[in-house]
Amino acid sequence: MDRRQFLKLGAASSAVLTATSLTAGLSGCSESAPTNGKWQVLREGDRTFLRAVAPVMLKGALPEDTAARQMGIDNMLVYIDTAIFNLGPHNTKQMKELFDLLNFGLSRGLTTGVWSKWDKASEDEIENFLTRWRESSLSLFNLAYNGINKLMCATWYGQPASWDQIGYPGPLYPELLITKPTIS
Amino acid sequence: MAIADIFKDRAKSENWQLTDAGKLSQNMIVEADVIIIGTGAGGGVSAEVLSQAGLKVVMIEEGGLFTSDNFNMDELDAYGTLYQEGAGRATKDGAISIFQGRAVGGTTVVNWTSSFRTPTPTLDHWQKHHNVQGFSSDEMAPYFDQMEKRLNVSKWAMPPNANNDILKQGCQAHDWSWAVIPRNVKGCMDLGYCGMGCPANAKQSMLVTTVPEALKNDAQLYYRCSAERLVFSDHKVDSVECLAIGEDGHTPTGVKLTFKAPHIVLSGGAINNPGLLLRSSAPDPHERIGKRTMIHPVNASLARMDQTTNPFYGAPQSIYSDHFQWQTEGDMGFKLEVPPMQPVMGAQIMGLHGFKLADTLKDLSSMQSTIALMRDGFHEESVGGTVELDHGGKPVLDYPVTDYMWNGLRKAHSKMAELQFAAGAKSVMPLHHDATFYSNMKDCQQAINTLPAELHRHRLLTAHLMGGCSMGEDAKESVVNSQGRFHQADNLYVIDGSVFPTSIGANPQLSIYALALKQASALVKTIKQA
Repeated sequence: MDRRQFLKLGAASSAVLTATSLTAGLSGCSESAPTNGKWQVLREGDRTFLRAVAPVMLKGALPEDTAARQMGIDNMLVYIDTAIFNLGPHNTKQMKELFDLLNFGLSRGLTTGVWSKWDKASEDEIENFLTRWRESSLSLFNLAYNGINKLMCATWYGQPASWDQIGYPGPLYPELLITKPTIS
Repeated sequence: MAIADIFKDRAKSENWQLTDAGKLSQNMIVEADVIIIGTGAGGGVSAEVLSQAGLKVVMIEEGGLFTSDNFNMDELDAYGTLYQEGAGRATKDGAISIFQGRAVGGTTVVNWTSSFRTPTPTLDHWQKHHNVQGFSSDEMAPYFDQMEKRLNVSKWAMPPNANNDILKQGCQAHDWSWAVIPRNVKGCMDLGYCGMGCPANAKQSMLVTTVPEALKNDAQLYYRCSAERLVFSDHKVDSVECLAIGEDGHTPTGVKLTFKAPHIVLSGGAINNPGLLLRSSAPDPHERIGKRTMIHPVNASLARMDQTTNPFYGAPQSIYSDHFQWQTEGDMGFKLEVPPMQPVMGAQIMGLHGFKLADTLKDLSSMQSTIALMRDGFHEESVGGTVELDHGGKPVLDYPVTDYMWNGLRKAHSKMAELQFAAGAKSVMPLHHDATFYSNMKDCQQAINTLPAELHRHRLLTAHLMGGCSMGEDAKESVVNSQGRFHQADNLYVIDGSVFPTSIGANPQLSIYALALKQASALVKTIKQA
């Protein structure tokens, strides 16, 4: 795809970005609430998206070991759920609209270039999507990339399991200063 | 724990009047001599001064009450609970991240302790261009003296951590001026976790100084109590209507609290003050509320060093340079400082993913980061942003970045890279989506010259919110007068950083403390004379 085609697609998907997320919300395509009581914000489809994207966003950072990796991602999802809730009602709504867009077939395909469902998407497809949004000349995509990137960076590197790899020994004098551990 | 939680201990032994509004089951009406909305730098000092004068003070805080036992040097926990919008607050277009506190003690609970007097050129500028009276350097000096004593402000006497020392070395190599930063700490353990709440009660924030003093003087504190509306009538404010916020920190419980007093002090900070006034349809004949909101826009430069830096440990800020602050008339001035780099802060600021992110962060313990704080509000092409309300009544800041500012940001990137290379950096990356690490200044400069001046690609953030209720004698140009009294109501005072007509040109906490001491002392006289 040359730059002109890309830009054209970009302009189309920018319109889609606002239009379809709205229609997805209005037409009842989007899940309105988390289906499981333990989630404050994230719906099943949102979690599927995050589970698919996390290993690509954090490639080289997440543990190789399957069980450790799974636990890292499970924790991330719980922390992302809390983090989005803590953004307050206004931002939470915007994040949900972004997830709607990403989970609605047509808008997902047009904006991300990923036409298969997230749990079926290949690593390459997801990498292309991330790079496309990061490099896009449309600031709306840069913004959305930044949002997902920050959430994932924060909730992985906030976990002690990530610290060995980056040479961070953890907080100083934990026995003296940490009153109750807040991260498992 | 081993470190006593002095707030909790004193609250019990001195019988402080603390109310978690979120736990109330029915509406209530509270009366006092003075209502103070907000418990940060402005509200905390005001509460101390007014309560010491024997007035019955009630403090209102929308954030929660968190004390040293809650401060565990845990980034995720702290950003989620102690910051506005879970540290996800941003400008209207989402391009500039805003770090602002939201807890009893306000931003002073999470700031990095840098304590500068308001620079004289800033005070002179206010007098000359914004018709502010009573704020000359000489007039302010006694207030700075007193607050510096009160909060134990002194130049950091221990050696700077490596992150700060590299800033010093870079300045020395270029013969740029630099100095040691004064900090408001007592018994500081040199940990580096100031941004997550001080676990050692060493930082002399409002949480451990003025708020306790006010409570000792029989002030009352209502927290998780969000000021929704000021009720105006006949050139005054009759009451303050608040919503109780539940334990989750965001959801209103349905309980309403109404506060009444002859005098109301607004100290909610530079975004929330204009927000409350706009939500209240406060009289604003010249449409000044929310205008001229300043943020010290910050950009950053990352360096890979040859040495271990451990930029996550040690007093976060101890060295600064004002070499480019007041140097030239035409360019935008900036202050050079460094940020602490714990993992979440370090990872979030990169804007990278995949192997690039992992490879960069692997070197975290030998990284150095320098930041430039742009001095906004001193030039016709830098008039700040505008606070407005979104559909839900939430205040949002619309902050445009002009060509004049882009030029300043570009110059700052150059100077930061020059500094880092001179201090021995192996490679430097200006934080921008289109940049990478460059191994020499020539390549780095070439990149800086061509990096697109685009929001969302250029990493920008702010931790200093100022203005939006700017002060001055001309009601057509300002929101409050030089004493902080709202031009359109006789009993409403705004006392905090939201009254600054420009940015400060330095980390603003001490400027707010001194201003609050001055304004609250004058208010005591006004009340006693009435």
